[in-house]
Amino acid sequence: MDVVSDPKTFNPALATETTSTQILGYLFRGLTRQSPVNGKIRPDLAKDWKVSDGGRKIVFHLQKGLLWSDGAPLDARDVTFTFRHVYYNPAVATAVRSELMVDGKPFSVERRGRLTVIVKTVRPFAPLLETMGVEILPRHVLEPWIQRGNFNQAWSVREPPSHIVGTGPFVLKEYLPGQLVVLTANPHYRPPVGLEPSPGCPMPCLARLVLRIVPNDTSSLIRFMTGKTDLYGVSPQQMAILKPVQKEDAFDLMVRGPSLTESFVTFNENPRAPLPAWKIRWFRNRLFRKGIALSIDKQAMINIVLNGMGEAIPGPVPRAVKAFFNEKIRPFPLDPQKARTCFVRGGFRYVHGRLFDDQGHRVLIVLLTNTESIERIQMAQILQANLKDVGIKIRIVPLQFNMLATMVMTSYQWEMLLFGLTGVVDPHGDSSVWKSSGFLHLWNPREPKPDQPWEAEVDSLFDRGDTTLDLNARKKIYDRWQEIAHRELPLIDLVTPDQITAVRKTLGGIRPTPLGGVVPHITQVYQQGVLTPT
Amino acid sequence: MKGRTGKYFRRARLPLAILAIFFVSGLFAEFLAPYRYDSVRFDLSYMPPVWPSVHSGRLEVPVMSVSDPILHRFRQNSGQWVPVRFLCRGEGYRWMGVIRSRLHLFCVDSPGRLSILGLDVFGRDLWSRLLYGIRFSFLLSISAVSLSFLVGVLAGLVAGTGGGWIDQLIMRTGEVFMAIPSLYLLMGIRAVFPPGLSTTEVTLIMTGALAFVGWAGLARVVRGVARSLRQEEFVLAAQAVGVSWWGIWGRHILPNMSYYLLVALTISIPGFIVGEAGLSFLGLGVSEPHPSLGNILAESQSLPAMKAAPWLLLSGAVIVIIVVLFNLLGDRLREPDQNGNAG
Repeated sequence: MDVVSDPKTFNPALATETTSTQILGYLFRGLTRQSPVNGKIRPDLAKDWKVSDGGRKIVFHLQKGLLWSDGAPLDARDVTFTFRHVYYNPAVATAVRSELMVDGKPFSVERRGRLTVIVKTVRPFAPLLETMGVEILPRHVLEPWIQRGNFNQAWSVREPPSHIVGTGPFVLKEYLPGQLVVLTANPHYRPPVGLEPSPGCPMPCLARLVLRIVPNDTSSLIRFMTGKTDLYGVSPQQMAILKPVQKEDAFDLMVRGPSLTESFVTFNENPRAPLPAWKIRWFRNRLFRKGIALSIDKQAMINIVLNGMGEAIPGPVPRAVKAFFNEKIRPFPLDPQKARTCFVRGGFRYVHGRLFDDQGHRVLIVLLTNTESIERIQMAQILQANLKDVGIKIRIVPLQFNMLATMVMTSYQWEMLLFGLTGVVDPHGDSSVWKSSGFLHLWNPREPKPDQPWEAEVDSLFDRGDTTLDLNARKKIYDRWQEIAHRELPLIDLVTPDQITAVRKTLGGIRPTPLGGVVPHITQVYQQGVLTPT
Repeated sequence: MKGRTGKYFRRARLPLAILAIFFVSGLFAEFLAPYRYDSVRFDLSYMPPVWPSVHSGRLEVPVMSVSDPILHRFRQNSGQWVPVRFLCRGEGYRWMGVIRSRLHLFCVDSPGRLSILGLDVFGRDLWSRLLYGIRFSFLLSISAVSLSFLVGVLAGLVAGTGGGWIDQLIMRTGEVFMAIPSLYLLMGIRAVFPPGLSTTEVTLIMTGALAFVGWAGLARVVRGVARSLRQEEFVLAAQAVGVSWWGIWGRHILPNMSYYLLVALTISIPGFIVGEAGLSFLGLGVSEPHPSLGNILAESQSLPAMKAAPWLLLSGAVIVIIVVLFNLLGDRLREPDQNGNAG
């Protein structure tokens, strides 16, 4: 397996970027975990739990006989230490803290005896069990760092590998900066309740995991093709290269259905933005946005950008998240004729096939996207051709990500944006995008109060969704939100690629899942035979 | 004088003729290309070249459709052929942005698609885009060369004939420019301007930037020649009878170095073409959908694109050919002729 860059830290509380979190995912565990098949919450370090007091209190029972990878026993004190002294410690620079808050207040985490942990919240909080998946840290190793007040430097990448003590299936063996990370099986690993080992093999089955740092995607593709790696995440574009050599290079291409990533276009509806007032009026016009949605040729995007391997996104909840996806919502079809009618009904008019607004301004929009993503630039070009057909002129400006973020989030100096966000399983995670006060509420960030009636409704739906524990009731709430999103179209969804992984035939125990990749449980993977060089 | 020049050009007949073909075909890109540079066919992404053939007594092309979107395989729709028409009415254009017309040398009716050199990811015709790209590269480099010559010759003349501190000032400034690797200098200049400019603005900036980078080398040569000519008796004589510097430059110095200038010109044009291609390749030049040789090449830089559409690399071949031709032209002009007269 290859990773794209060096890890920045081996401290789970401080890790933010994907390489660190990917590696730490093998080294640490939480009280709960999310099922990669259906997104349900399953036991991990905890063997079971009981919810009481209308959802305000949860009692977790830890598994018996848990050991840290250095052999020290794990008990409830480690859990209380992790929450009270690390995650809720204002001196610790952790990104996790904001997720462990309800209405800005931390959970209360108490222990009773050696194996029982009681978590209380000020009000019922639906995603509570999911957030309890945060990594539990060893008190006996990290307490001195906390006491010395230099926890933010603890477990840096310069730390000797044997000092990184976890509960995951693997331990860190070696780290050579710029080259590789080697993990070996954790002798004290104890699998979570309900997870069966692969036949004839303990958990974890693999003795060693070698992650080589290869910053260039083309080189890691070539490394996979030459048999130097066994797992490779394939982009749809690369299928044309990999598919013909599937047999001779002995690998399977596993397609797991649409990914969670969302790509969309959005318009600046922010009245505070430094744009001509008439442009903001266009963007705030619902019929204008609907017309745009009807002009986009998503099939062309799939065929060209995703090499035919992907699908149009219906709404804000990915189709892979079956628990919350609203089946009634369908992606907008390509219908330029209907789009033109929409624009005309929205107060625009056509002169020689070009679109003008009622004050005589030609509809010309600057579309921003980021240069790093070739896919997005290609989608922007298809969009440009599509909108030309309905009389709208688009000028594409690819910017570097940081510059783009500044223009969109701070100076509000943008008109139209083609961008993507990683999807989430629980809609609660979308609140930073959809709540009017959210910082990722791109079309009008951090509104002091909801600017439009439907935004107020979405706000209240999210508040209710957070506090409702009954799954069916939550589904209804989020269904309503998806309907509003489909009608108001602040984000016009585009397409999402299929998730494809190339897996060498020598690996066994691979199970493709919609949410957890092809390796839902690394512990079940085993090596069957060795690739003989031909 | 005239006879001599004619003889030089005869010697360089071959490269000159080929370059002229390139230039003229670029100039009439709209007419020679069956499609506009931004004419897309999303259903025919990466279609390979399909040449017209004689079918039922006429020159026709088969109608193609995708058979495997993943591997970019295409098949002929059985029995569907469309005739190739010559001097026909096709997609509308404005020649050089001025003359409106629909006339093309050849075209086919939809759903057929002429694909002489293959199509790119959006189903745009590479042949058409190359023609537009060649024109863009030629015009841009010729205007940049003219600009840099104007500056370079003037600076060289002033430095060479003026001497003293003026000479020092101009030549040391030029050396500063020459010391910085030109691609970085170009990127730096481009970065001064905000992104998201229109194509015209980008073109002007690129012309200016290329000229800005290119003048110093020429100024150095001109200065050297001007310095040696300044010692010649005819210049001293002209000076003695009170001819102004402008007169001396125009009547005595420039005509005597015209030959150097010609050679320098032919050798520096490829530098500008490569410079433009480099900037566009890095995404700093003219932006899509406008084609230039550099950004067509940039489309083929990923491994999947190179595998799916190797024909996109042709733009690289065109760059190489044009550069070689210009260098050949320069060499031929510089070679002493049969009589042994040094050029």
